[in-house]
Amino acid sequence: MANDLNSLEQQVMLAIIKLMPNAYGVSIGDHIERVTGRSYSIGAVYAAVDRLEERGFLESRRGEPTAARGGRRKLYFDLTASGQLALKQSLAMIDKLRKTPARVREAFV
Amino acid sequence: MKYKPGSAGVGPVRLKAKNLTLGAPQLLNVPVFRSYPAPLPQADRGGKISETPRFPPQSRPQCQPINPPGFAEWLLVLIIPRRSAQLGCLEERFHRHVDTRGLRRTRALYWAEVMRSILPILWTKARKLGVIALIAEIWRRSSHS
Repeated sequence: MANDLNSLEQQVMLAIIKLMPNAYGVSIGDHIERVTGRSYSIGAVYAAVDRLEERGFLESRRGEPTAARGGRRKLYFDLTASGQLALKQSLAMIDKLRKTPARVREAFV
Repeated sequence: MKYKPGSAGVGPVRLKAKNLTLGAPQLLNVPVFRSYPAPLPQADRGGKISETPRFPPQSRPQCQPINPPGFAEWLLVLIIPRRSAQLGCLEERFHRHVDTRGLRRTRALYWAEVMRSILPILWTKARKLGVIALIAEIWRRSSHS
């Protein structure tokens, strides 16, 4: 499916929704680490963001340069309408899969 | 107040005109050099004005800028151009980690982050160019012969 999202992409999109309108590389990585306990490199976050932007699920805007960033500008990310739809579908699919019959659950628990 | 050698708190000042007062150099854009605190009063030095600074150069506080490894930055820009935002994020994390983890560990972490960003891209490019297949073929032929 064209709207398939992997685990990191889902996490990045959920972090962007939470942090909007201040979602940029460091804040996205920090939020994911704080909530899930898993730390991703900045490179991994940017790779995921690039893929999502190419597919039209995200849009970016340039922010202010700061001294802590060596005078470089921040790049803020926002979710587009198609991005929201893709995330909704992807999470709904996982929810469907979670609703397993009781006999299957018992076999694994 | 005119500049006098040995006056407290004032270093050597280079003036172009003779009758300029302090403060005027800034207005006239004349270079001002304040290198080190003024020498001790004459009475403390037995009436002689010494040229030796009160604090020798090795005892002055070191004000080296703490920056991420330059070569790592250069490598990242070379492999992934148009990613100044990513460089900015790496630098922001670098400055945050320096206080808590120390300079050496933070530099190592920075290198690790850069490598984790670069290596997948290099691997993809190598696969696209067929370099890996070529090396595998050479190795296969050499091992069979």
